[in-house]
Amino acid sequence: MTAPLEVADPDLDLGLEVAADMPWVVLVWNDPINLMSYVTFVLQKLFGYSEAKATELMLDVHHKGRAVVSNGTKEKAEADVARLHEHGLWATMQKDGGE
Amino acid sequence: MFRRMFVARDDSTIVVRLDDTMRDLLVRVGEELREVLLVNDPETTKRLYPTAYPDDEALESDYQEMVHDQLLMQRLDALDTFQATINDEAISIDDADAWMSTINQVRLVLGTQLDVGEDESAIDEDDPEAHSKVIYQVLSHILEELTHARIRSL
Repeated sequence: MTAPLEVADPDLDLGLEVAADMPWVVLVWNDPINLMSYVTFVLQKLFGYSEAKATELMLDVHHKGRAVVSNGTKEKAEADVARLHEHGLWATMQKDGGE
Repeated sequence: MFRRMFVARDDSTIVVRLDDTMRDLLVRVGEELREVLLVNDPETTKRLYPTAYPDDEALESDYQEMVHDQLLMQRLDALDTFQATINDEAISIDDADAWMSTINQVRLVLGTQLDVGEDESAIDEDDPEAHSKVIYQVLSHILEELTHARIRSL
């Protein structure tokens, strides 16, 4: 496995402000198996990102080791993580600022 | 001349141009994946059921209990569709998603077993795992091609 690199503030990856009632973030981590094109496709399919945004996130994953791909309540984050796992991506969730 | 394996059509279907050798390979790896899923050896399938909460054992246990069977059913459903359409000349978008899911699952299992790195382009023919590595690369190529065809329908 490629060792994940530290990102100073993963929220900057999305440019999103995390509201107080949406304290959980979903991260996708770099791994040597998933294809870059496939990761981009999954992010577009699951979250409706444009190709440009999905590609930007995929490149963050590839170069920085991880990227925040969604946020929300614990229930929403769990559902997003499960959908990412269904598609084979290495995703985790944590409270915002919980590093 | 380079010939694409998959061609997206305007009617939201994808033409499959795999030869018999490729289809035979996919049939075989599909059968092997079903066995892997049903036997469910944790070491073999660990990449199919990633950790959601790496820093909280209690939450992680709850998460795995909640999603494991659901993920297994989704994987078996995708595999059923994949195996039912493996010899079709054209597949629907839903079929394509099942193909991508199944092929990537095989890559996740095989890639974990082979401990692949970022660059696996060169294979030493004397490597005892050379055959498995070639299969991994062929599956990667098929998935890459299918992804490019499928992404046109988004």
